[in-house]
Amino acid sequence: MIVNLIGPRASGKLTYLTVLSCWNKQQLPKSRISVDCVNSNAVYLVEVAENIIFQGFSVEPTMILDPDDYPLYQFDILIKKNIFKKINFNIIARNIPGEVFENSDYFGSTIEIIGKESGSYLLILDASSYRQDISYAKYLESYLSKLTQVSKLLSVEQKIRIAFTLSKCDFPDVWLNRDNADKLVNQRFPKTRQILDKWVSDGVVKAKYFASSSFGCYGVNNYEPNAFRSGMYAALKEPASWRPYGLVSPIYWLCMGQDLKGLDRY
Amino acid sequence: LGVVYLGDRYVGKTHLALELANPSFEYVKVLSPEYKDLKPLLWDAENNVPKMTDADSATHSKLIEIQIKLPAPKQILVEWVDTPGEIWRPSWQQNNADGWQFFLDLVGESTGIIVVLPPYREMISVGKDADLFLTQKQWCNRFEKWTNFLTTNCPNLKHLLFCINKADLFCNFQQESAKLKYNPRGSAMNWQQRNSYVSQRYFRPIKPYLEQITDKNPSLAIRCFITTVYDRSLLELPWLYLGSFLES
Repeated sequence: MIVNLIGPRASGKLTYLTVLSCWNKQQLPKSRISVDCVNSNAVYLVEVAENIIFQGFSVEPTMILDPDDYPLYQFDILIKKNIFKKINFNIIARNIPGEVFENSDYFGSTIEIIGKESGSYLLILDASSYRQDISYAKYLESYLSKLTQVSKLLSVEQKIRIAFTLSKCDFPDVWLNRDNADKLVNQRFPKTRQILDKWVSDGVVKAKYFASSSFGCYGVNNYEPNAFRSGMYAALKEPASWRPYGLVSPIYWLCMGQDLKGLDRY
Repeated sequence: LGVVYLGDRYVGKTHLALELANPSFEYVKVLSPEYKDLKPLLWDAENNVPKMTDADSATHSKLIEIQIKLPAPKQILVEWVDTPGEIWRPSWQQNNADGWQFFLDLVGESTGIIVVLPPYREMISVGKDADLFLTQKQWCNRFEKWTNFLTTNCPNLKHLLFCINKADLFCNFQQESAKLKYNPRGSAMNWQQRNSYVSQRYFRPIKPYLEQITDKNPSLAIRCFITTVYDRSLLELPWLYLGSFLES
């Protein structure tokens, strides 16, 4: 299944994919999840993770390309539910630069292409960018208006599904409520949520809310953000203490159509 | 990706590039051209100094193949572009309008630029000839011009590296090198700490200008280094940084 990553600039879309790619190589202790990189684009992300993310840098912004040229990253994900049962699913992710989400001049032609191929969207918003709520609501309204026109060609099973995911949830006040994404979204992005809820109540879109952090927290009580902040950008502070949060739940829901408890902590 | 070396005359741009190719490397190895082939082109053996970069042309480019021992090692092909210091003179720009335009087009497309800066007079160690260098005030004024140039002419820039060269003249470079040294298995400092350490210690007078550049282009990564041809670790650091982002 193709999952399109959308959201404003610097919301952490490529960082999300990059840390997902290095899941196995960085060997999270006691993780019951395994992520294999299937194609060469995904394998390249492992190099980016090792040389950039785990060296304390931020990834470069994604360039705007022709809609057909966005690389596809394929992952095979295995979850050990218990000692007897394993769940396996495969995703193909496509990262759409923030400019496309923010500017209707760009997204028209992009949605024409990607909207016909898949109805699965991982919408990523930086939890700390709540002051942009009104702007995000406008972007989302325009984006969905266009997308729903194009997606009429999709089958019923492929109906538009949006995993609304807050990223960078490692700030203390957000981190404390990370298990309650619904509450966080209501508090931080009420206007944007209102727009999405409208499309959901019209029966056009299915949506669910998630909280995540690509770097997580660390320290004695596990409350110190494992990230340097510089303006809109964040970088990993202590690679040895890397414990991401909530990365697999949104894509599991998009691919399997349901939740699986206990997926968020690794 | 083209990596462009910018800097005024006599700051050591060519010498830095030549010494990078020196076969006694740590993590950055220039595979081609080889040092023995490069040296006759760039080194004035008679006077034992680097040759002046020919100002007949605005840019001198060479494809160099570099192997970098990063956590995920990679081999990259970089177009290294050297510029003669003369091009910053208004008279040169007027007399070489085509060359100047060619240069502007080149930096306009570049995603990586290394600006090589001289030290300023007040930072030069006792016993060295400090009078050869600009005063701190002059140095800051010159940097303001760099700021204006870079914020106006480089819309595609993603990585901007500033190197105060000739570290052997203004600090205990061996001690600094030991602190800043790169080690893929865990250095004393990570890249964030290295950048903070160098910028706070050596770039403080131009901090407002660095902030000005960031304000105009928030997605641009600015990194500060000190370099000298006499220390391989310091010499390699800017390339280890750039190498992390350059595609294999």
